[in-house]
Amino acid sequence: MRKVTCYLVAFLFTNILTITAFAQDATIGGNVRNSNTKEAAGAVSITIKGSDAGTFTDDKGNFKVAVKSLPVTLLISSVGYEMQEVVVSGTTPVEIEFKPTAALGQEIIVAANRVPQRIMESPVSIERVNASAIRSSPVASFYDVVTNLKGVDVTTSSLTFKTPTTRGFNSSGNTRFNQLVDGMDNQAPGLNFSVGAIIGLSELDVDNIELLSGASSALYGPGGMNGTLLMTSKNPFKYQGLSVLIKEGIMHTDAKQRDASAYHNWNVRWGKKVSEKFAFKINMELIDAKDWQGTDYRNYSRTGTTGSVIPGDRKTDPNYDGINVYGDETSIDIRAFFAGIAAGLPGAADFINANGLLATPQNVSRTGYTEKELLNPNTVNYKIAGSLHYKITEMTEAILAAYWGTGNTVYTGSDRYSFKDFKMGQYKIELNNPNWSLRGYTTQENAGESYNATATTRLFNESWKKSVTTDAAGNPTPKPTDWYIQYAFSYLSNLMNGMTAYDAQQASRAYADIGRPAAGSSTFVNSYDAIRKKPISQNGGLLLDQSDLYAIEGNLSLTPYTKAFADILVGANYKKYILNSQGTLFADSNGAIGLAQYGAYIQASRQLMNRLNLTVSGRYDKADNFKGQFTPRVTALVKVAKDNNVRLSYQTAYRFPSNQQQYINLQVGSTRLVGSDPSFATYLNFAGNPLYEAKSVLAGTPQIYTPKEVKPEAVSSFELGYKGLLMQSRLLIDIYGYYGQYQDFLGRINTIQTTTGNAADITDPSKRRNISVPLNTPDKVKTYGFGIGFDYRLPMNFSFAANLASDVLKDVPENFVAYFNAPKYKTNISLGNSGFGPAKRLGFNITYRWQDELYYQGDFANGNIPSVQTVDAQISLKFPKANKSILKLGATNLLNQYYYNAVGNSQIGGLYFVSFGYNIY
Amino acid sequence: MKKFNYKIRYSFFAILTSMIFLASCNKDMEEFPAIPTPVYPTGDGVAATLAANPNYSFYSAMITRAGLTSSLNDLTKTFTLFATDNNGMKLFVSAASGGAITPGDPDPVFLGFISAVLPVASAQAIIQYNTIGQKFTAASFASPFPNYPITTQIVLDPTQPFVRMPIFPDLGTPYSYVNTLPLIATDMMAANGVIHTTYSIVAPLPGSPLITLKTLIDTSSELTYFKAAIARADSGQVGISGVGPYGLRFDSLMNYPITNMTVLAPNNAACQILIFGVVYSTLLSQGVPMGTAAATATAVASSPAGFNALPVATVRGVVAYHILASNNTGSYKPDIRAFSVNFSSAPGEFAKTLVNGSVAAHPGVMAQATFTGPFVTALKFTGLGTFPPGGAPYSGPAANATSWDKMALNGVLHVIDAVLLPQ
Repeated sequence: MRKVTCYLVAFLFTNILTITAFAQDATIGGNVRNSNTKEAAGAVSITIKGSDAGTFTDDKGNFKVAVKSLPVTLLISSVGYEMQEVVVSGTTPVEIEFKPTAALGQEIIVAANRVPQRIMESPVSIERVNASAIRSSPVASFYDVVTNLKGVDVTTSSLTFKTPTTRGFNSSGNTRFNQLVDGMDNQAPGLNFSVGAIIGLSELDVDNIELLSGASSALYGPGGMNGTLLMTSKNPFKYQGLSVLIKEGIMHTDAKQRDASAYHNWNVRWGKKVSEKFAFKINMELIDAKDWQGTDYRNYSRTGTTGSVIPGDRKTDPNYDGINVYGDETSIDIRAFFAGIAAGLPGAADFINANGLLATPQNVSRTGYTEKELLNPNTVNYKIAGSLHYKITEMTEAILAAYWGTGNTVYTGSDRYSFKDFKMGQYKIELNNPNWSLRGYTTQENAGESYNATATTRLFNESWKKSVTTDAAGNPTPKPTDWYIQYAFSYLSNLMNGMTAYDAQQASRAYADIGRPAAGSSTFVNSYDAIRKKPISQNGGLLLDQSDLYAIEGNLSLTPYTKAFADILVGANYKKYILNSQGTLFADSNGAIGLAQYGAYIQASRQLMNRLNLTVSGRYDKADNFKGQFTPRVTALVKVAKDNNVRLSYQTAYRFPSNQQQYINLQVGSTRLVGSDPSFATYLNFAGNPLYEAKSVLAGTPQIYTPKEVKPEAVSSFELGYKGLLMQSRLLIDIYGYYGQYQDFLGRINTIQTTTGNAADITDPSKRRNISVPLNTPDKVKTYGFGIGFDYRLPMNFSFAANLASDVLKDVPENFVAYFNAPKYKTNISLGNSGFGPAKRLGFNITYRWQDELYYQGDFANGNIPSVQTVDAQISLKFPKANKSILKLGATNLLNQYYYNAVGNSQIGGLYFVSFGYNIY
Repeated sequence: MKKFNYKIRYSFFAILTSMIFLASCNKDMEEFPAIPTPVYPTGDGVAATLAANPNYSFYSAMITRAGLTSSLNDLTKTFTLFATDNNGMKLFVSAASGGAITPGDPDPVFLGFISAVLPVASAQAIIQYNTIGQKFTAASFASPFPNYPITTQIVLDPTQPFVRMPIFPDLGTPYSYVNTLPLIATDMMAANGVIHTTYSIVAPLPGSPLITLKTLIDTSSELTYFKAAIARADSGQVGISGVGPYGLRFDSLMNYPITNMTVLAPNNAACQILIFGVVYSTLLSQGVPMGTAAATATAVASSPAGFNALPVATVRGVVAYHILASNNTGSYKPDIRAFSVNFSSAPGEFAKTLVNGSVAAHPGVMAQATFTGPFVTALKFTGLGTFPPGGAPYSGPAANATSWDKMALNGVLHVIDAVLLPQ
């Protein structure tokens, strides 16, 4: 793969060095200003009518363009303005008054069909956010703007790690949702999901965000079961100059989680068009804050990777397992100790029996530490990116780009993970032409000092005081110094002293915890740090993930040759994952695991009768370990009137089992997660020492479970939608309804295997272990839903928008864990103004978001999520004479009403900020 | 236009207000009803209940002497107390004073003894031994054979505070007992427990100084043969550090403080008969003339060392047959302490022995106690075998207990006048 990259680099530079500039005869120029505000209009497209030649205005509204002859007609266009034609007869600079328009639906989108088209003519549901919308949005980070899009659900793991999805199946780290940054798959190769916006674009460099809702594999490949988010950065040919955005804010104002703390978000971008052929940009972003915290201390009953919230707390339940308390996952039934005492101590048996100590499980958990006590509160996210752009020809642009980021955040998987000094870099080389593109890129992941907080804390407890000493073979050899021995003996003794069970539990825990290091003490920190820095494979908590992805892809439009018949687009890609966790995540102790995927697609679209646009797509993908998959897509767009279209689509998507589902080998709590690769069956001797369904074992009727070959998961979806402009293009309505059917749904099943190989021992809890294995559910799961959105431009620059969406899961088999995690209803309502008051320099936006309650299912924890309502708001003041400077006062979750959208995730409060942006456009 | 502006303003104001109002009522996360924590009772504790009853003024004084008043009145804890009334206390004080105080003496004499003469440690030991850290009404005592052992407040091993001295209530008809003493009243309720009245003071087991079954056997002049029998049975066996918690030696077993055994110990005369009989019949079978055989057997039986003339397996079997056992834990173990009062007065009742560990179907030892009122006046055991061998089972003369209820920390010993044979 590295060879391929080298060839691409060589090819690019060969072009740069050998292709000369095209000769031009005259240069014309001028300045473009907003006719209302007289503000310089930057990044305005200046195209010479009748040719492909053109340029963009710089940040001061100036432009220059070479022409072969005069006069010429310039086409002046930009989103939010009426297109103008200006005839230029001489080389004297022209002053152009550019008239803003309130008309909606003018945006150009690319994602829907991989070719530029008006958003009004998209054949599938798509949402678009441009830089202007981000600028006026009341969010602290640009990525949050996705939250307010129609039909979007977001799982918030921390301040900087948010995971969006559409049409259900959300989680902290969504493997059913694609995120592309400038065309690159943005997922962390070892994790198989994107870590929010920690790695990728910085706010000032975002040109636009496009969101494809629902299945989208046909064009973007495996993984896009529930949508694809495409983020595109600003091209330095178009967006030039130095821009700075400083946000300073405050969080935790009510000291509910911690003392009030500062929020810093600093952005710098510099884009420079050095010549008509060469431009570059560099940008960086720093976020530094005290993160939100997981403060759910409710009690949780855990069985493998399933469970439920239950009554009780540390005092009332000796087996308390707090959701955001770690270390207390270690749990033992202490009946074995009582049984031993009863058998050998005169008088004890009857006392023990009279107290019911042998009749029912006496599960007791170790004493844990809260997330607040354990995790570094500082969340830091630093991103830097840059690119070199060279126009090989007027229409062909070569791009060499690098994106690198590092950050601290928290992730909720099967356990709670602290991503500490997590780093990821993406590097690409790309050739772009309106008719073709070729892109090679690599993603280099380094988990840094990321660690499993749950496992680390459990191991810390063991390092301080053994739960129960075992011999080399793992057989219990209890010692008086063991925590559980001390607890059990003390408990029994306290009962014999006449204490109530409740009091005896408190006293016994206090006794067994004597000398327990306090969180934050030097003893604690030294020991805890030593464990978290030790790889998981060596009985530590450190994740050593340095997995990489290498990819190459190309797209070619055959339309110039097939126009008479249809517009045809073809493309292909190849990906190679190199999984390298050194045995801390994957079963790769013996060396990195290579996994390849490749695929190709073709899309044909044809206009029929000037009212119907039909598009047919097909894609074939093949991945190592799995058979090839074909995904078709058919869309139709019916023009019922000007700017009023009905769309109909049948889309399919699938995903191969993720790298983790194939190769994970990780102990989580009392359960070992293993992958679907056949090597696990050999390693764990499933043939000679069978697995039993955990439920059947716990019910006392052990049933053998034989793992089956795991297949890719697939979804097929029908969608009917309407998008139309009404009321002189001031009202945009977008409505959709969909129906999807999932098959071979990928999930996990909890099984139990004996540790002895003796089948009879399956009933003995001390001689068995829990193993979670992947499987496809044989049942088909159906989803359906709808969305409706209104966007209305009112007089005096006011705008009002509202949307409502619904997602429903249907025909869920009993006991099937679907991880749907979508509220039945959700809505966003926003009201804003882009310019009012003196000189129309003031602006504001207020957004209300509500989502219905839901039952959240995750490997870490399940439970009800109450309905969530938030208000975000901002008010801004423009300084047009200070080079498009903006002062903004904003708040997310204005009323500081804490909410959470996944059990065990951080509780999100209010963030209040003031920002100053220089040269923002 | 102006009117429109007003409309817009009011509409926006209404929308903004609605948004803020709606968002101001986010629900907290789902909570469950709290698990109830203990609600402690109010009223008189065990000590206060006794103090309020003039029939227990002596016992109450002993609680005061022991300094355990507040402890027994702790309403966060629950107790069962075996106490005795003033009559029972008079018997105890009379005995404790070596007869210097007689039951006919006036009450202040008793109170004076309890409050000033009775050693505090003794008072504490008595009360702690008679206190269980759980509420057991009389009906809640199960009635297995031989009794319902339960741990008291006397801790035997401070490093393992659940290792405690047991007490042995026995719910029976017509009499119930605690160890060997009858219960004369039950279920006097206190706020934090229940009080049962015993005939007199139930003395703690001899834990300090420690007396084990081995101690009793080794220091008894009438059991020197039985001691020798144990030594012969233990020949070649591993001791306390060997296999199992007690090893395979009876000697170790009987010296291990944390056991709970019943030993039927044949006295010397009984053992001599056994040795004589076995040696004599062996010699006869070898063709030795009767006179010579009798003389030789008499000589061998004249010394405890005579057991060395018997096969180890035989002696081991005989000793095992003199240790009662239960299979409460799934296998026969020497884990029951049968006081004389625990045996039935009805004929034909059997108790299992350690022989059942090898021969599970063995019927055991037939035991029968003779009661006068609540007290045992005679106790006898009958083995399956007969001597000389070959007679009808259980048809021979029974082994009568010559003394019974000899207390050790780890068991009770009854001395019998004949060796019981398992077959």
